[in-house]
Amino acid sequence: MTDLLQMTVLSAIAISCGLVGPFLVLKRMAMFANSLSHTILLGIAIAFLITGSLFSLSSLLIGAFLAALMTAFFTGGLIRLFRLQEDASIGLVFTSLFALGITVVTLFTRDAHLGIEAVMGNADIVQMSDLKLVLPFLGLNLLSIVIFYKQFQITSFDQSLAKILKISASPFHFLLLFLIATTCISAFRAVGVLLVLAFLVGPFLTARLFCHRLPWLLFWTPLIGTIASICGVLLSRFLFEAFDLALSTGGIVATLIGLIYVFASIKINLFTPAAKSANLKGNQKASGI
Amino acid sequence: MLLFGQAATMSDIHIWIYGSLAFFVALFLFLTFRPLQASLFDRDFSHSAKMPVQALERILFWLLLLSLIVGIRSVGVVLMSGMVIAPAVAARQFTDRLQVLFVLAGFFGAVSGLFGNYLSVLANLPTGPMIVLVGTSFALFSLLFAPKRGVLFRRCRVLSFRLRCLEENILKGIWKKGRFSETPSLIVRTALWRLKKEGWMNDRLELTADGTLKAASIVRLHRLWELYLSEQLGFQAEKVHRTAEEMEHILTPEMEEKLTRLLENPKHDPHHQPIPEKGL
Repeated sequence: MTDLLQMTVLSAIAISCGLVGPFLVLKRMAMFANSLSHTILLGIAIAFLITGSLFSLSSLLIGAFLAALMTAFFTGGLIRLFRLQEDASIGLVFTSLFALGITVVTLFTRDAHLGIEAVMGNADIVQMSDLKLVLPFLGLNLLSIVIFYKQFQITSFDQSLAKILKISASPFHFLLLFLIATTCISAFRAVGVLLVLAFLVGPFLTARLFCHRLPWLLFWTPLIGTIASICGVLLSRFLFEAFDLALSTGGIVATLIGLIYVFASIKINLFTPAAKSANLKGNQKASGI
Repeated sequence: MLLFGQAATMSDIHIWIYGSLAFFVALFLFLTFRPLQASLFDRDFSHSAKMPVQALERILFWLLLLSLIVGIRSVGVVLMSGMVIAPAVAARQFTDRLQVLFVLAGFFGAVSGLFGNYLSVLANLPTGPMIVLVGTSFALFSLLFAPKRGVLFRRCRVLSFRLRCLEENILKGIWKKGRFSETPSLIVRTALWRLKKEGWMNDRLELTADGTLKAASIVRLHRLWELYLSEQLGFQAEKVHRTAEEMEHILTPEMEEKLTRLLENPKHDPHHQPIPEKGL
């Protein structure tokens, strides 16, 4: 029963990550998402101070909103006001906000355990309530992507076209940031804030190796994430039963996502270029060049 | 605790281990400083000078790894990237020289380690986050208040330039109209006060002898630039006024000298106004 629940929760997380992940990588915001996945700890801590409850839907939404706002504001401020390079300012902002988050959490809960739990996540203690928490966020992602598919597509591929069509990029940019933040927060309990980046980026990179259409990428990315989640839970259970190894399930899933990417890229690099060049030669012969 | 660092678990032997690792890193930087500098600033040049750029970069990567290992026990793996960046950002605001940058960044790192550890013991908070917070506050402080590069200094420079422009415009206005006619706002009053202090204006808001000369020289720069634009660059006479309004505050005496020689010591500007003689 718990295995099934774990699979469902992790799959739901993988799907909601798989929906926003493609836009994230296409807009070259992967490092920004890394930053965001750290700063939501501070967002959650502040939301906890405001609302007084840690894992209610409203406090998590407030936390995600605050985190997205703070990260975007501070990083942009450092770049524009202080003329710092982008990479340096991202690095500076996320580490300091993360440090602040850990400090606030430790200060108010006097429980260093929460800090570690937040960072590493613990897929082995997920309950029915976690599933109920993850599903609304999945729905939010799905709804936003379905409604604003065109806008997201255009702003991530062609900024000038977006300008001509009078789609202003910044609201959708911020919406994407907010969705990433909510996604990170929904993954908070099961996989922690660090490993969620693997869920956001890994499956999309794998899918892009063999697929080049955005609608299909939005289909394949969640699917790969889901497969990795299910296999990860099974593997974790198997290792525990057979060898008595209690490993972090979230960690196993993230490792699997990485391995899938490595194998897929090796396979495609080994076979496709040869096949392609052979194909090309055939075409050239056929057309008489 | 690898994630956030726990200084309390350290013992004497760690001083030796981490100390020697840090010494090794510093020694390497000291020995390979020249080629390192060349490859950092101009990769193509160092390639063409047959320096081992790739080997250097590879070694630099391993040194970074070493430093991260040094930091694991005190700062923790998660926050080490902050410790790599923050001291360098802080040091960069104070210097333009690479040697100084290395030393200063090391110094900032050491100080933030010290204070962070102290604070963490004092307030019973996790060590790594405190060290990173101290390092980041150093970086923010330097970004704000560092001389020359700091935001505050740059703002002051812009403001003082604007004030000087205002002063010179007031002088010019009085020189042309013979009297001061403007509703004095706070900034205008500041400018007037400074003009009086510099002795270019008396208490009845009239130009002194020095002030007249100064105003004439500003008008001269303005009209010289207008003439230059219309004669040498072929602009229409109606379009030259606006840039001249800005250039009159920027032109230096050497530029004035060259303009005078280039335009063969002119007497009238494109609007047939007389150009005042060089006075100061």
